[in-house]
Amino acid sequence: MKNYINIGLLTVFLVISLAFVSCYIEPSSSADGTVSIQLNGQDLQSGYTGDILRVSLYLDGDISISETDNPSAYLDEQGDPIETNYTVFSNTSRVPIDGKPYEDFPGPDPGSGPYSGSIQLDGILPGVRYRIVLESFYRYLEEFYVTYATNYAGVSEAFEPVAGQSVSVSVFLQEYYFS
Amino acid sequence: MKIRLICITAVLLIALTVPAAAQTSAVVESFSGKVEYQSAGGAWTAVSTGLSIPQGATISTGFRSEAVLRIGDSTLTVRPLTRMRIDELAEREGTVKTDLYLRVGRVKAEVRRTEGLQQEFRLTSPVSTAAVRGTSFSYDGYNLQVLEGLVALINAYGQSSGIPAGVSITSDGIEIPPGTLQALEQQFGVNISAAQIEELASVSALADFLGIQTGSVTINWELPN
Repeated sequence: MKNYINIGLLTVFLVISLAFVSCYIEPSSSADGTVSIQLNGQDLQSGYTGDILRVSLYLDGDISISETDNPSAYLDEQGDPIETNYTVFSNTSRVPIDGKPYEDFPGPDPGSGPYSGSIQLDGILPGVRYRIVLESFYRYLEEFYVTYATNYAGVSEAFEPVAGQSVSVSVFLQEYYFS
Repeated sequence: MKIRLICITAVLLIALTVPAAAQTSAVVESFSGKVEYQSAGGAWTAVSTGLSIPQGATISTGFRSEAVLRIGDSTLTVRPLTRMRIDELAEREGTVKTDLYLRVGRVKAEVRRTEGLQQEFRLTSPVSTAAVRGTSFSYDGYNLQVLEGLVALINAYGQSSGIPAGVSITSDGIEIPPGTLQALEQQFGVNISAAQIEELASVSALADFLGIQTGSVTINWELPN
């Protein structure tokens, strides 16, 4: 009898958990058995706390990421720079996404994974070659929202979008240490 | 009569004690390609070397075009496909005040200190403001690269941050970069004039103008395990 109750409670718990998680995560598995999640391209709701993947779209060119003492930075919600152990070097312009310089998506915890996944970015003008820069951040609420870099970043190969279709690119996020 | 005399004396005293603002000017030091300016309510006119661009005028650069403006001891390089309005150029009480509005494009500013004069140099875009006192920086409205000195970057919410030399920083922005416009112009065989840039400052407006559908990209990411 006791076991039936435990199994029942566990089932209810699992159903509730899956209902919450499936709001923006679609579990999937790859051929090599790697755990993977599909992030459905929903940008962050205001008040989101947790891991973030920040997508920036650049025109194709010489784009590289290097460890540096002169960090690149963004302004966070309070107008304070978010310092990183790396700098994104580019000889091209950053292209706005939906009127913003970058788009944030719920991301993985670099310490516990998942270690692969995908994000879909819509509304990109075709006819131009681009590259994607992906960066990992963490945002939490203290008295106000604080964002810091987990110092994982990567740049994609060049790609050209096709009108009305979706193309794929790969980005490997590398860890950068303070040099 | 006595009251009128007192009034006139008072007006004269006020006029003598309040220092007049001497207007400085933005002089075209050099330019290449298609560079035009428009005074308030006037027509677009090609610039020439040595031309003094009046306060309130808007300067516009075309593809592969550039202009170098001298404002007092400061130099402003206006990059291709830029549209910028000169809101204020004045010297008042030992301060040279320069107020520029960058609608679209990129400029590089070298604001030099002048003996006995303070510099109050502000470059405002629709989303942020770069305010400097004696420095060198490059700014396109949301990407700021500080080459020398310290620049205060004020975002759309009025929050200010001091950005030192060697740091590049981004604040919220809404513009389509000039390189995108140029590539699309070549790709689709259309001509996007400098005057149309303002109306095409969003992806959806640009897609509508070109009569094209947008595409998507699926980013497959991987973290080291």
